[in-house]
Amino acid sequence: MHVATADSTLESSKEAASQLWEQLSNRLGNPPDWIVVAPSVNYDIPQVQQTLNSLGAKRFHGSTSCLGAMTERGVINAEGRGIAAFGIADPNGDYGVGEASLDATTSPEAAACQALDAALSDAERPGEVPDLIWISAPPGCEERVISGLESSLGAGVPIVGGSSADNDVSGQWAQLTQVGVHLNAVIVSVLFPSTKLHFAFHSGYEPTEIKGRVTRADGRILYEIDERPAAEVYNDWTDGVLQDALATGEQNVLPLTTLYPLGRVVGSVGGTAYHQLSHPDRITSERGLSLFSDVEVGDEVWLMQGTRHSLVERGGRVARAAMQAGNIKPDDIAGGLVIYCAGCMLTVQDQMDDVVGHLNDALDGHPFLGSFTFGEQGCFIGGENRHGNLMISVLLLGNAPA
Amino acid sequence: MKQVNEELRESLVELQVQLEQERTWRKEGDLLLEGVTRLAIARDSETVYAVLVDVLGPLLGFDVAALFLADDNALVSMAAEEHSLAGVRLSIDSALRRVLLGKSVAVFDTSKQPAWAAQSSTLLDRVRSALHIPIFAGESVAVLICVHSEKGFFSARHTRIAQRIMPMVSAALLSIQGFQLRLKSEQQNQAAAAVATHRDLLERALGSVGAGVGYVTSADLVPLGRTLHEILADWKTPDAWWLHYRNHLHPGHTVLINDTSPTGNRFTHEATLMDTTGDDQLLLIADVTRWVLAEQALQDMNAELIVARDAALSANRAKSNFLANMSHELRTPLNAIMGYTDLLTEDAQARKETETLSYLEQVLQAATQLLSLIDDVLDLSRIDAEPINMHMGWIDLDNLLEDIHVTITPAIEQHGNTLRITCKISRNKIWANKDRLQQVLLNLLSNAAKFTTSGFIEIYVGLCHTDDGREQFSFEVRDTGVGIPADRLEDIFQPFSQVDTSNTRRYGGTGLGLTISRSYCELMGGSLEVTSTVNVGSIFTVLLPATCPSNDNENKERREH
Repeated sequence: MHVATADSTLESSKEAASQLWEQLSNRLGNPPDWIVVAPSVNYDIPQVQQTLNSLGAKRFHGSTSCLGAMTERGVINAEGRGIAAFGIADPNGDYGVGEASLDATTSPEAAACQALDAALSDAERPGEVPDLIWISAPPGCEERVISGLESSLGAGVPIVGGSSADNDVSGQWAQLTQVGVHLNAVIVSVLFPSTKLHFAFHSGYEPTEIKGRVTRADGRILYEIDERPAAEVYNDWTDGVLQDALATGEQNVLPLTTLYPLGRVVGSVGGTAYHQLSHPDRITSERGLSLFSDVEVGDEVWLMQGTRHSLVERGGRVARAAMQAGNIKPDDIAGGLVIYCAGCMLTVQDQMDDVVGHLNDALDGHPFLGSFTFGEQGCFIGGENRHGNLMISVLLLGNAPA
Repeated sequence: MKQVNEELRESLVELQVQLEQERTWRKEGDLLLEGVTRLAIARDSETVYAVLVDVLGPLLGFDVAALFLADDNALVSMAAEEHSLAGVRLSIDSALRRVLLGKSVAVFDTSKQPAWAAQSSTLLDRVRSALHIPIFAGESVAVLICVHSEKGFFSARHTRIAQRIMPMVSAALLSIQGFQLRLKSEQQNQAAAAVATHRDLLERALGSVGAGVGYVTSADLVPLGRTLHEILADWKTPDAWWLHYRNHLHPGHTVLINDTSPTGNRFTHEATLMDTTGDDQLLLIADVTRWVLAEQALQDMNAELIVARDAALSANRAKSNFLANMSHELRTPLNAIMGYTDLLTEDAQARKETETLSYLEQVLQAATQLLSLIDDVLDLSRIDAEPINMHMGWIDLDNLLEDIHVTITPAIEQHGNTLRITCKISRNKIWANKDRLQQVLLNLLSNAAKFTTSGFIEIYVGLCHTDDGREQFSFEVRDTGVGIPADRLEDIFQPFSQVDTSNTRRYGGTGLGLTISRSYCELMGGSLEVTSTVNVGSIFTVLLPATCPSNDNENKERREH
């Protein structure tokens, strides 16, 4: 297996995509069998897709990333514009990419299953259990996408990926594959690599001792905690982080809450709990909180806390956790894919070079592609596939035969 | 500090994960070694099949499994007539071709996999997922197919285990009669090559679980592969180990050898000698030194902890006995003081000596406070010193709440507070000790009344569930009082602790009520927790199991130290 990354900040979409292809082909020495593409929304996505197809890309899995991307060479962002790619040449493995549009007649669950079947057909492995599923979806339906995939595949297959993102949460995100370009579609890749895979899914946050129970919620709107308006409870918990917003009626609170998300216990290892995070982005008219992930009545939510320092270091630490999970050393790595929350990236934007530095230290300079996403999907230590916010997901491709 | 906490927490989780993984690998390794041992002495294909199903069943969890043999273009079931996979014939497509080349393949939905999709719908109703494990023996290939009625049952974990099992089974098949006959018809060099290949496979399989393997004759130990060399690195040659310990070994038995190696290192080897169908014997050696040392360290640590715990318990009991005795000694004269003060008060009232009356009232008030303190100390020392009989029974919730309402109302109203009682559960019987539960709730309400002025105090009774789904009664005592800082929330349950030492003077109380209340809750099988926000209020939550214990002894009483 050979792995390489490529990147460009050229303004022309066609030239940027051509540059990606040229770099990947040169660095791999062979045409890639699977490509992950992460463009910012400034690019003409249909143009990127057409160019990659015209140059002979067999299959690619693309999803827009907030303000560019990152690779082992650094952050790929020139005034909010950047595109990067990760390619694998693995003649002894099988890979497939499938897509399905989300529309009024197709539920996220059904779209996920359609995309899975299409990906397995593309890999010429219909009905077979892949080693890992890589997904992209627009923000808003990720839990249902995971649920759809698990209803078909069972819960034993790790699902990793990130939600499409734009530069300003205005909804311009997109998805692309060798088949088409979409604004609202589920993209599924199935991986049957010839070498071993290792992964980890973490947040850079610690639980505080403050918690409450969700007493009213609907999907991603958390109305009440302990029978009180959620925004007021959250404000009390954080010693007034939302005080001004509540007083002035300001709805957008995304930047205020990044270091204090809400967490729910997903599982525990030896009595130590690990958490899935929800990021409050807006105060509703009823003084509830809008989140980037679903909550349910009865859920116990904890106030989590993070620091800029932990967000900067965390990418490297999650990469190390993935290595530790497989009991491998950096020499055993061919390359990696990193999903890094866009909210975290925006919080430590001036220290992103350090984030890349920590990843390079952990991966010993092996190639990696990092996408900045509006939702992260990954497989926890206990094997639970989950969607969360403010998380970091790392997938490492090893050198040792599977 | 946050960073250190995060790192500590992360290290703890990673350590636990590693331990869990090691346990899983060790369990799988044990099962594989057991399988190797049993397969090595199998004499026919039926035994091999029975052993396979025995060994693989717990690891893979399939409904049924059957061996399939390849003919020109299909895999044909070898299962007996009554078996649910009898007569099944699967056309060899690209997936099954990969199986025949040595890759295990899991199918999550047989209706989507071409070879299976061509089968009857009746069969597919029973077989929704399948795992295909290749088994090599010489030039012959068999496929063990495990099936399950649940779609998506098999995952990458199953194929990983299958890949590890495959060489073990293949090596075993080489030694059984049917395959030997087939091998005899092959050219000698082909047979030798096949044996070498499968010895290598066996070595790899055992190496993956930390065991080395070798063939032994009377004086020689011939290692297969490098694992045995690595395990016996402290000896000049593997033969040296064999000559030294062979008298301890008997075919079919596993022996633990604890000794010091020629280079002075302590070691523990788990050695198993097995007969084969040939003249040689097979020797498996697993180096378990690390495990034995870890177990010993764990036992030492446990022993130290037990000694420390016993010492602490003993000291605590002595302290509590002293307190209990002292409290009795204090209570006796105090009762006399209060009795005589009562008599003097009656005299003073009769003589209308108002100044004397005022002094006597102060004496009585001080004595009452002192008695309350002594009662609390007595309660606490009883809990600490000796087993408490916690007589549990079904109690009437309405009556309990009514009694509490009547008793606490004057204290609630003293500071202009309003009391609300909310009961959100339909059943009226709860499993508890009425006196103790009432004491706990009155203590919490009395605290709420003390620390709240012109506010609301509520008892909220509801049902909730533990993480593992068991129902619990929840009694929340909520107030809109001064609240408790987050960093003092646990301290308030410590004896003689109040949020602020000045509180003792300002609000009264001994600082023992919450300690006693939490102990009583725990003795009733429940818990007492608190959440609070300064200047907003506090919520004290008593959680009690909603069902009585099924055990008869526990049903009658719960005894705790």
